[in-house]
Amino acid sequence: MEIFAKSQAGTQQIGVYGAIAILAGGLLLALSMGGAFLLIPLIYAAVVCLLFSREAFRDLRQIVVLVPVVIVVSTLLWQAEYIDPSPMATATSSPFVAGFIVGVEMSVRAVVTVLAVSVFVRTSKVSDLTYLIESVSGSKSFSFVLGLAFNIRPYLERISRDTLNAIKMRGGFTLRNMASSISCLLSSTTLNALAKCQDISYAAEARAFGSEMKAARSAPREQMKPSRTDLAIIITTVILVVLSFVSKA
Amino acid sequence: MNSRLSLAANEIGKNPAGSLGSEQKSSRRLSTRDLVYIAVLAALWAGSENVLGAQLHAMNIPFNGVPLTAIAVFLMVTGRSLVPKAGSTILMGIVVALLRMLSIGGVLLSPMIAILMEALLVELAMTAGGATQLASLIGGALAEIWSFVHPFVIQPLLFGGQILVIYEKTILAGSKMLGVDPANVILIILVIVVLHGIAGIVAGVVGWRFSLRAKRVLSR
Repeated sequence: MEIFAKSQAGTQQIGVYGAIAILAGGLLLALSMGGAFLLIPLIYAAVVCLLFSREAFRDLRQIVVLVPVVIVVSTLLWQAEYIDPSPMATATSSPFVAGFIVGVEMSVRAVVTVLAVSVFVRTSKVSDLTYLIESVSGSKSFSFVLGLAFNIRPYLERISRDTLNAIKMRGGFTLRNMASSISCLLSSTTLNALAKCQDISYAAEARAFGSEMKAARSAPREQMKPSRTDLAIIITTVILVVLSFVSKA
Repeated sequence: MNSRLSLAANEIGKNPAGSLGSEQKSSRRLSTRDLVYIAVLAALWAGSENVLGAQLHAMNIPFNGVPLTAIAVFLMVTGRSLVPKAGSTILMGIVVALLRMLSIGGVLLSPMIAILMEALLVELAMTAGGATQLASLIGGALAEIWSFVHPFVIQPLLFGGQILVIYEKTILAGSKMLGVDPANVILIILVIVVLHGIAGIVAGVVGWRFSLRAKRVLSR
């Protein structure tokens, strides 16, 4: 199950508040800035990635094909009659240059968005996010569901592999019986997994999960507070956003 | 969202107060077994997203979202049938999105939004229509249609609204190059949308029938 072992090389764990500030700031700046002002969110995202998660740059490969396509198509197809052109594009006379600039603008926006999301995902701990979701929703059981879903994957993998092998041994997964083989695999795996639920719920209740809060007083959780790094990130992001909007205005 | 996710891990009917109001309140809550069903089905969905999704993505097959969404619809409908309570499907979607976040690989934003939107659409359909076959096929169709519409929503989010102009220009230029009327291009897109919807209906019906069978097997 190494597929789930996310690489954390070159990544610092920051608090969830700092990660949310980075995400919100990056997206807000990317969506609201245009023209040369787009350099502000680009530099912001790049600096944040360098400081907290260099791994985030690797996530840019998801748009590495899309960006040249967008730039080329925009350069070739952009016409002057577009009613709401970007400020930089209108400054040029040639529709090709205008189209190229619009393509670059769109690409920068995409790069900033991907980097901001990637930094958020890579730097924030799942336990912090889970705690935040539980705090916001008032639920006490979200972490149970997430933890169980995470931990039961090896068992599900095993039963699906067993089912797959059994179907293959009976001559399954040929072109003639592909649909029925897939149907058998899906239904058998799901039924086997669901049949295990009864045992899991009994096991959880045997460990006092689900008992009344009055009867079993759960240990108080440590309140999540923003660290100094989080505060520094939040203050820097707010100042940058305000300055960007003021300078743009 | 608050009310949807206000899920407490209490056994139904274990409330010592025993009043009618408290019984109604506890019946809306998810029992431990409900939570386990949601977790197991979410793990299956996440597994299919990671294993099958990665394979299909690597093979670069067009419309590779169709089988993935069909499996997701199958599992969501099964889950909703076993746990017919508001919020159970969206909870499943959030868990799968978080599991997706934990997995390795660069593509994170787009699948996470797709998973959440598909769960939201099925949740809306099955909350409005109840845990019925009709609601499950409507939810399935909506989720499958979303898998087609998804890139056209996510790309304007990534690149900004200007990408829509690029789409328009590309369709016009492409239809001019191929000698096809632009209206026909729109017709082709509509046909693809309808085909996605049919795939979703099939997945919804299969999921619903499977859930009836699963209930029978589990009650033995």
